[in-house]
Amino acid sequence: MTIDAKFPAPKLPQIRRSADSDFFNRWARLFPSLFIIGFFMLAPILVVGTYSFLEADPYGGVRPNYSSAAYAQLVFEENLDGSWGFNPSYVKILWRSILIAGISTALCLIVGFPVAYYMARQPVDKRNFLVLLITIPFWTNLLIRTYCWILILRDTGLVNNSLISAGILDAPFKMLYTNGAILLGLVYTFVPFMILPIYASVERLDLRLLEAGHDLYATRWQVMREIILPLAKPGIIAGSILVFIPCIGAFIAPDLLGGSKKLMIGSLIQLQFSSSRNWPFGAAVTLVLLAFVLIVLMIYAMKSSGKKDLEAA
Amino acid sequence: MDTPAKNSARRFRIGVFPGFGVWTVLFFVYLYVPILILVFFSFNGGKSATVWSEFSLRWYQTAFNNADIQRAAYNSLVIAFVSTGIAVVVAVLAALVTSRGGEFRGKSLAYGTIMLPLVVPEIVTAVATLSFFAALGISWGAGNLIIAHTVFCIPFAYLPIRARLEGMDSSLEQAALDLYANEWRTFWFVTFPLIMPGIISGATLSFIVSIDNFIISLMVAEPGVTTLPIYIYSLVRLGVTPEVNAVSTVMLMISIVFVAISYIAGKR
Amino acid sequence: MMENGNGVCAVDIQAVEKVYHSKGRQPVQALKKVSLSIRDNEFFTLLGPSGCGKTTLLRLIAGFEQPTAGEILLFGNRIEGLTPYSRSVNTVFQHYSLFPHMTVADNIGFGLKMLKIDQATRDKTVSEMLSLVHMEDFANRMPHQLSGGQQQRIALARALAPHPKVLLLDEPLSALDLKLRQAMRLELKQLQEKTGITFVFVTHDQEEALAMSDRIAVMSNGEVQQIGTAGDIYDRPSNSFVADFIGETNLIDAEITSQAGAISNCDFPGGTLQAETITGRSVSDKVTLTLRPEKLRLSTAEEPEQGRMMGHVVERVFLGTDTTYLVQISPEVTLQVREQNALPGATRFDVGAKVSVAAADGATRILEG
Repeated sequence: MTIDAKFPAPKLPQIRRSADSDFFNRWARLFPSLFIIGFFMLAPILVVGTYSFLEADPYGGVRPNYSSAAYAQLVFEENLDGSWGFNPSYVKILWRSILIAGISTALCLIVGFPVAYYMARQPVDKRNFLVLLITIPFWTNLLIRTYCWILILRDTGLVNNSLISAGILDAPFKMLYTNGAILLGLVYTFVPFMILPIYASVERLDLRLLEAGHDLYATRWQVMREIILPLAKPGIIAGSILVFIPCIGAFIAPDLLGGSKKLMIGSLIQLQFSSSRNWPFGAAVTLVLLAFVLIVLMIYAMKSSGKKDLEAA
Repeated sequence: MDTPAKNSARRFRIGVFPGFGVWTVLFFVYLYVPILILVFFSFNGGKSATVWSEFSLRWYQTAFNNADIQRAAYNSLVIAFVSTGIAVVVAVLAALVTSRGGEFRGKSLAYGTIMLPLVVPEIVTAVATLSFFAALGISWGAGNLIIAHTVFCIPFAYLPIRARLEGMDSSLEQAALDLYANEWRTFWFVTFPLIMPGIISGATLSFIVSIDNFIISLMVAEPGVTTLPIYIYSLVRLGVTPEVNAVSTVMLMISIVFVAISYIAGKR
Repeated sequence: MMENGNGVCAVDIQAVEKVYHSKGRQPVQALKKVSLSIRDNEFFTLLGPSGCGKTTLLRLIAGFEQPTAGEILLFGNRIEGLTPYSRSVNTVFQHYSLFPHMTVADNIGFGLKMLKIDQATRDKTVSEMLSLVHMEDFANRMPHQLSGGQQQRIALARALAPHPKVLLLDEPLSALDLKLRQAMRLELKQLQEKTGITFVFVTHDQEEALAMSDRIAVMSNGEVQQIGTAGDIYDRPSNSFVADFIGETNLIDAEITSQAGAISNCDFPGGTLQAETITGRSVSDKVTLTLRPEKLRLSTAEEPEQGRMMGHVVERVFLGTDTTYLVQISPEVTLQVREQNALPGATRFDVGAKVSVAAADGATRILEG
């Protein structure tokens, strides 16, 4: 201590002045981005929330009168005699959306895991190249990538044309406008979101743990089940959420590949704000979707923060 | 030991799973063949979008001479440039605070807000923005789209810049301050040149997501303000034509070139 | 190379070679025709500097890699065709490699689980192992909650739990601090005696090797230099590498000037020393002598005598229990001498002091290699 007093440590220059000016500087710099997102994204979400409790204007937009009709319409319908009866059609659409998003997520995992694993095990140059190959489609136009599948799947598309000309089929096999086509399109679009987080967690995996597993009599697939999969779990969960959320609100794939009869939440919302002109109902469905997404995210946040606490301990 | 077991041990390599390599190859085929098919048929001379007749650039010519496409492309470019410009500036400011400003109350809230456009499903953002503009009576033509695009461009611009700052030793800036540069000069002569690759990467990514955006544009666009994706969508709804293939190919190429720029910038 | 006499051969390495090929580079020969036999119930150490091939040899025994040529026998059976998970050999890894997502108990029980041993037996073995390594209270901890020394014990318990025939230890103590390392040495040795399992221990630390091993194989450059007990390789090193690597030594280039039966007289600039005659070295042969610093004595005596060399101190290093002197006896030869400080009447010599150096009887050895 005496030594410290005699020879004070050289003072490092610090980017720091009084607390007040720090506060001002920070928030002044954060303000533009927070303002843009806050004012043009958060506020709009509140507006949509409000709209869901208003009356519909048949010419589009809303009338400023309170009404809970939009939410009632989700589950009930008004019969001709004025009584209300259960209407399962929208509940079915919600359920279908959840189901299709869930199946897509599972398919993305099955398709993506071996790819992510294989990529992470390559030498570093090849690895980076493969990651680039995965990301390129991700940055290209979603609409166009989905459109590509119309060329392949439609009745006069490549697959049917070549099967018919090869004499294997007599009449075109219906592939477009099926649930299968929607799944194909969703997986195609969102599988990079699954691969990249899994890749990141497998890349960090310590190969010596696999050696230890084999040394302790685990076969290859036992090592996969007991060591690799549990350790890749954070990546798998993150990937699943990143796939599930856009899938459940997807619009393009159901719209282009599913056709008008295979509605999902995304298309339902879009319809209400455009041709159906029932904004409050559209707003209500939007809120249901948003609530669903937030619940998923909150569960994830709680689980992962719980895990961090454990690791910190 | 019998021979098969011997072979299996000889070939036994830790962490290698049989079939994963083949699966990966098949996956990349799945990922790229549809795109290659589109590109291939964009050079088809015939009237069909999926039956090959001869090589020709005629559909590119048709597309380039189509006044609607020209207008849509012009709109798309203007919107992308302006949104990217605004997004990059505000993202740099925000990144400097979150990566260099130390710990402070509300930091994670600020970060969460910036990330929000990535988390909320696009269709939600789309109808929310539409309702908002309708409620306030904002009707600024392409301005509406520029605002909507800027919102979701911000996180795409922010992330690479932040990554660059986090990977950069803050002692460089401290050294500059130590050498009598004031904060502004430190930013301008030290920080800014060093985060340039991050800025380029963020700007190109913002540009791509703006050019490619469809759902938000579709919902928010005022009548008469069409962007390329909206135009392509309207064509696709009408039917599959070689002209769509040509326009789509051009858009794909733009994206790929920009991704390449971003990748190279990021590698520096 | 079969082990004759007492005991079975636990591990028999027969002319094993390992060559690493990598693209665009010269192939690296990690092991050159290595042959050695490890007896059952033995604490056997592979000792050598990094890159000498000792870890490669261990990985070949474990099955993580395959030999380019040669055979490895485990209790008389060829194991060449077996994958790592079908060899009854377990490894304690250098960085422990505990499974981070499993509790201590699950880590220890992992091998038994993979062998499809029932839960009750597994639980019993796990608690036995925990008490064997004195970690009874840690069963439900996660590995990251343990200190390095504790992780080390769990890694040991995990490898011992399936009762392997041979336990391989890959520099298991290298990540621990000195105190802990010394304590663990004793414990490892006791554990080996208690369990009766053959231990194959890899280390670059000669002290560790000397303290624990029944026998030691000194390796260098992909070859075995010498195999023997600690006493063998310390007192009777077969070549200059071993002499130099194990402990400290003076290596002197000399020439045999005369031989009288079992005694050879060796001349070098500054003196003459007597050493035991070895086969294949006769008069006028150039040889290398090895002479341990602690077997030399300094004195002020001036009368020349057999085995006594005159010189002056050029450096003195105080080492606590003893002091090391560098004594120059001729322009070509400088000897290292270690004097114990605790000896009654020990004299301290200053730099520049004229001294005579005497070698103890039998201290000088002619190296074969």
